[in-house]
Amino acid sequence: MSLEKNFCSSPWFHMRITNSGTYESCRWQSKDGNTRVNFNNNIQTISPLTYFQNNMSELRTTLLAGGASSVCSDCYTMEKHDKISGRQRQLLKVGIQEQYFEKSLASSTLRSAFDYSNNNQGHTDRSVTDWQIDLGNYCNGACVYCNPENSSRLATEFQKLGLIDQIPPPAWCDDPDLVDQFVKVLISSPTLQYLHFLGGETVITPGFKTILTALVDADLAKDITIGFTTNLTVWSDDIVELLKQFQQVNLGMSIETLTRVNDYVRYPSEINSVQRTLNRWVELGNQQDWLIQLRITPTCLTVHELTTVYEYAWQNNIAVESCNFIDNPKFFRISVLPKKQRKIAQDTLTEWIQSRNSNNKDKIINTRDPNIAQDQIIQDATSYLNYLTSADDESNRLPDLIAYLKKLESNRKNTILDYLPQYEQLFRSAGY
Amino acid sequence: MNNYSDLQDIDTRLNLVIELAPVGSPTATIIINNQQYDYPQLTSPIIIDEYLPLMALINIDIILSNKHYTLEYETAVIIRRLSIDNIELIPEYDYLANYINDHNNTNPTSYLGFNGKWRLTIDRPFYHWLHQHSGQGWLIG
Repeated sequence: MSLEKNFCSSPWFHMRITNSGTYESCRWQSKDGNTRVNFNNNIQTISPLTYFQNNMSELRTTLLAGGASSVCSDCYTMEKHDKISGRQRQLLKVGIQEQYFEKSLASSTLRSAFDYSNNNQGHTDRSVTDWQIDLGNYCNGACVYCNPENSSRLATEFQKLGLIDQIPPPAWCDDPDLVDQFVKVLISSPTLQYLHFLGGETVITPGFKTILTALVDADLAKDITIGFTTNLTVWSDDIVELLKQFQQVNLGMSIETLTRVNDYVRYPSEINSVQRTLNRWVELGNQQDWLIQLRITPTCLTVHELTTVYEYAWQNNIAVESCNFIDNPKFFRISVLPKKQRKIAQDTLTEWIQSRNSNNKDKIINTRDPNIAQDQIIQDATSYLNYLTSADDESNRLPDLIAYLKKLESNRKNTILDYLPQYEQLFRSAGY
Repeated sequence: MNNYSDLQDIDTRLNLVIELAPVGSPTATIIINNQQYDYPQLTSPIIIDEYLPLMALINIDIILSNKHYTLEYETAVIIRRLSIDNIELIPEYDYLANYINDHNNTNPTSYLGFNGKWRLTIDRPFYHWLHQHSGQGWLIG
């Protein structure tokens, strides 16, 4: 038991609704709710407030007891590799800083709420301040590491390839009545401050526009920050105009590299078009004073060219962030690269990091602070360097990777060797 | 701490340390909230080591007075150290201090060479104030 290592403030102000309408306690926990509909914890059966105040009591009790919860395992893994975790970010939002843990916990803005829960079996009387809203899998992209629950295009492809029997059921936000019910909850919430949307591709998902419009119509936009991530293949003037009415926007832009391998991984995007759209969002974000970030999901196919993203971010003073080290599919993990290829990626990252001037020694938790974006980029790059250096070897998964890529390529009529010719020998040896 | 209840057994008071060093023999006064320390003739460095409630709002005044500029050109008070819980506030946050003096010199400084008052106001609980001024983002609650 260690309160300092395990405690998280998130269950006192945050919760998530997944694609299926199932509630979860955190945006960083594994996304079981997308695939497993739990009717005990679903928008069709109980209100979000009941789930938040009552059903999350067990988690709060565990954390107050200094225990480690299984739903928090991704955060513990990130911290092990010196990557900033969701836990650290959520602690900071209520004023708790690791280096002054005891005193900052004692003076936290949620101290009285922690006390209340500690005396009431984990119950809270607060309402949700920070929502993660999963909008379903409606997406024009089919990234190779994605899954049918998060991409409708990939779902169709998987079904065609026989990888799944059925496409995922419709998302909760495809049901106008449920969206209406949810919007009413948001509008009546006294402490609402932040909504983070996830797709699919948010910009083209009807539920995104519906919810934004409802909040604008209810005159709440000026008090709310919107966060969302876009895949840089679409643009909507309507969405942009809605977003401009909110207090603040945290814009995430997904990209893996600024080279052609991005086209293969983020299929069927095209890097020149992606770069134009990226520049357009960056220009808009700068004009509107939005907080903008590049969102990456480094895999064994892209980690060696990650510096192209860091370089763009550095030049444009934009933070770079990935939520977690990729865990599933397991064969996309960076640690699938054998020693020799890992070393090349390590050397590239090391060289890039050393070529930059960053004297920051402090751990940056508030990764959205534009004043320290360049230091944050170095921190993120260093976390991947650490991971490349220390993660266990999983090159035994290479044959699984190759089998999977060949399956996708049979439908896409492309070949990884056009994008990563330097890996030909490696991939051939694993069955390509 | 093993668990949240352990918080009740911990001394959560803030430890404030101020160290002043004289240049010459200045007349100096320190006021920490309502507690006043007078030094009619400060001839050697002094250290004030105080404890304050965790959630206290804090005003720190350091005053130089009775300086005769024609006679005592080299008279001053130097704030060598101002820390709370070993977090050094000088020089990083001296730009937040309000320095009112008879030379209208308002540049951020920890060298007080003019008759006047140097005031640092911590207008919210210290760790909230530190969160804000060290750029840690929004605070919920």
